[in-house]
Amino acid sequence: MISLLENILLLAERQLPKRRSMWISDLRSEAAHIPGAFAGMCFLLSGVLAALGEVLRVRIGVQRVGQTLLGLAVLTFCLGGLVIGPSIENAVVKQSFYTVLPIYALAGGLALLNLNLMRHFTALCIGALGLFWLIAGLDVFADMDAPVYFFRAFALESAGIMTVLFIAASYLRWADPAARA
Amino acid sequence: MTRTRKPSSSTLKILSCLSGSPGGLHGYALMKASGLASGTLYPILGRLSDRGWLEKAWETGDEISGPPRRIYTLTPVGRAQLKDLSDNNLLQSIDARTAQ
Repeated sequence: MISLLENILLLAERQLPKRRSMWISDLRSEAAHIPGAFAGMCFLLSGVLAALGEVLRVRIGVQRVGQTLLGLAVLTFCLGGLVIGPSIENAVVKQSFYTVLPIYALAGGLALLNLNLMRHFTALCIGALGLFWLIAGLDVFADMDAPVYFFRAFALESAGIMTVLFIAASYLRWADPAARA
Repeated sequence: MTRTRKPSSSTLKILSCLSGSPGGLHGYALMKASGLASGTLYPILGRLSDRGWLEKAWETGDEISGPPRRIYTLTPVGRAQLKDLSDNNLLQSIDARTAQ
């Protein structure tokens, strides 16, 4: 068991940059001096857990975790939309709902794959929805039926959601030191 | 711009343990003195050495059995930082929390 833990520590040490792994070699050299097999095992086990945590932080990164959570949250929202979609009775609302869901899904997919692309996509959507909101507010459409007003409200709401996604993507990119470098 | 933040209670415990041992302590003794687990203690020791607050040296002597191990001592920078922290009453609040 002790040799297994030592091997895991050695493996973790090799995965980390020198500056972040120095403490692991110090811990390994100390392990030989711990009195008692059980105490030695506990000493190594605690070190292994810390080393694996460090490897996760360095290799995967907090930014990647945030990016995955954001993407999954948006895709779950879309999946929920698909579930409640059939129960919408108003045809106009239903149509708008189904039009906007793939756009959200695309944003969620991009969040998982590429934050920069997601930022550009959400910015484009905000621009397009804002333009639609402005055009639909022109006097030409004043005599039209209620759906124009509904579409305006819907565009505004979608633009709001896209803005939140844009801010989230920008923050995650800013939080990633590699992307900033 | 480097971020400066308040040291954790574990960091303060380590620093105060080391301040009471001018000759330095090895990891296991430090672990016993501070009551921290090795997985908490060693990453902090690594960071403190990186910042120049601690100095690491290999243990020397004829009576030592097994592979050499590190002895940690506070550097003048570390002592100054510790003094700053105790001036700000941070150490006292940590001691009070530990006593509870």
